[in-house]
Amino acid sequence: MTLELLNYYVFTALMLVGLYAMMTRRHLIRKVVGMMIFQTGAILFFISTAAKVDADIPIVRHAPVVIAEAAETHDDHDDDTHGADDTHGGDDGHDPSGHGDADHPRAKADDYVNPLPHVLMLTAIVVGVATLGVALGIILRIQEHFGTLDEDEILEKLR
Amino acid sequence: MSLYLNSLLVLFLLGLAILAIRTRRLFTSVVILGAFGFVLALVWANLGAVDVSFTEAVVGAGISTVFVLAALRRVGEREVEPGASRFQAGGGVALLCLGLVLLMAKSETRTVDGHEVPRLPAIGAKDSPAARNVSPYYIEHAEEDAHTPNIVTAVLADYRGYDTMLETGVVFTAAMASILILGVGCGQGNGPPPAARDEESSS
Amino acid sequence: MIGITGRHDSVIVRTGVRLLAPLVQLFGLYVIFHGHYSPGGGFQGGVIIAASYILIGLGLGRDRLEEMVSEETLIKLAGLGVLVYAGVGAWSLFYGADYLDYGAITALDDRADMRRSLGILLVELGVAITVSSVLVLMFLRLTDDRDDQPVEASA
Repeated sequence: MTLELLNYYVFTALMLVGLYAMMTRRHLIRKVVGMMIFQTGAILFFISTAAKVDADIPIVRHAPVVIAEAAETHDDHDDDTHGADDTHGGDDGHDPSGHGDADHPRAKADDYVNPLPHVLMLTAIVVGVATLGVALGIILRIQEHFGTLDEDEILEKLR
Repeated sequence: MSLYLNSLLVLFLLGLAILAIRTRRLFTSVVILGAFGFVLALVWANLGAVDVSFTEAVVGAGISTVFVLAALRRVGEREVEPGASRFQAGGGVALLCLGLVLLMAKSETRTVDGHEVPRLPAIGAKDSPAARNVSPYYIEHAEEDAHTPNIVTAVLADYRGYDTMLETGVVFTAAMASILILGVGCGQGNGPPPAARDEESSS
Repeated sequence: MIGITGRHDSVIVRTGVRLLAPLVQLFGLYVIFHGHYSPGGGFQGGVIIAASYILIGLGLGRDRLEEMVSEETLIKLAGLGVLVYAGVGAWSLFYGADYLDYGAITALDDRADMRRSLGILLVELGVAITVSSVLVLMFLRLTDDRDDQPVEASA
């Protein structure tokens, strides 16, 4: 079904639109707008690969009974019992009764969206706005120096 | 995650992107880019990336729009005819060809020199290559390793701490670069006093 | 366009900014400190706090913002954030562990997973300090038009 691949087509189109703006627009701020669209295309690709059908957001959720139990057992829970929990909790952590590894029933990977691309893109967005600030700073300097932001006029004056 | 909502949103996104580079006025273009950021935040939320959505709503729709508008205000809005570049026709054709090649490459499984090159996984596939390597370990162990139910935070600051530290360094470097480019005006003896400036701006 | 240097003309906008900015900052702090249990963390909270200061700059005027936080302070804070992150990383070296291995810092807590949780909180604080101060600094730099030649009116 094509809907399942639509995000890939859209991310390609976004990158091409951004690249087109960077190539053909003459005003430098338009080029920066194109750059931001291009960057968005890359981010869309990463986040799309992270999605999973019927999966939850990447925050481990306890079943309600487990939360109640954890609140009870939390007070007498120091480092020794925690170490002991690990040994007999083991692999059947998703036991519905919440026994054994009650405080930490192990999450199943298929139930949660893949968090790794989110981390990478989170930092990419913030770094993106920081580099946008630098790009705009350079643009302001260019305006100050050449008196114009038109690509052709700047190239003309550079000769 | 809803595939239909996702399709609707990404198509809307594409429309906004095309609009942003087609409009005549630069100001309109930047404001459309702000709307683009809001729709992006919705797309991320729908795909389950709540942390990214959070950041995008603040950064994409708010801060970056303010930055570009602040720069636009200082350089003036004068723009030559938008469609007068030398690269217009050639660039369009070259990019269309590039796009076709990319679409062909990712839409079906094909055989090259006897090796099978798989197509990209469907959106939401649980066995996509990105979800098979270290990611299950992070999801299963984040809480017992670091007592942090939000796996994104655990991966960001613990499992991949080096990555984030150097990203912070990049943000810091960007600030230093911005100061080096624009000069630092620490507010002493630089330009007319505030009262005089207010008169200037109001006149 | 209305000047960013001066304060906004409308009293509604100014009052709105005065009411909204502290709430946004409070929310930003919540996002940073509750980032372990809900969506949030250093980057998200940092940009929210930066947005609140940018809101003040837009509503009450750039000069008012510069009175609150001078650029010198912001530069120092930006460096401090990176130092906090790197410092927590170096702290774990004293316990014989690897760089950035918070689980080894026994001064933080008795339980290893709680130590890592607290270590995450510390480095997220560093990230938030850097990100917010850098973005406010960039806003101040981009809107500083004291030396500008007047540009012609927009078309």
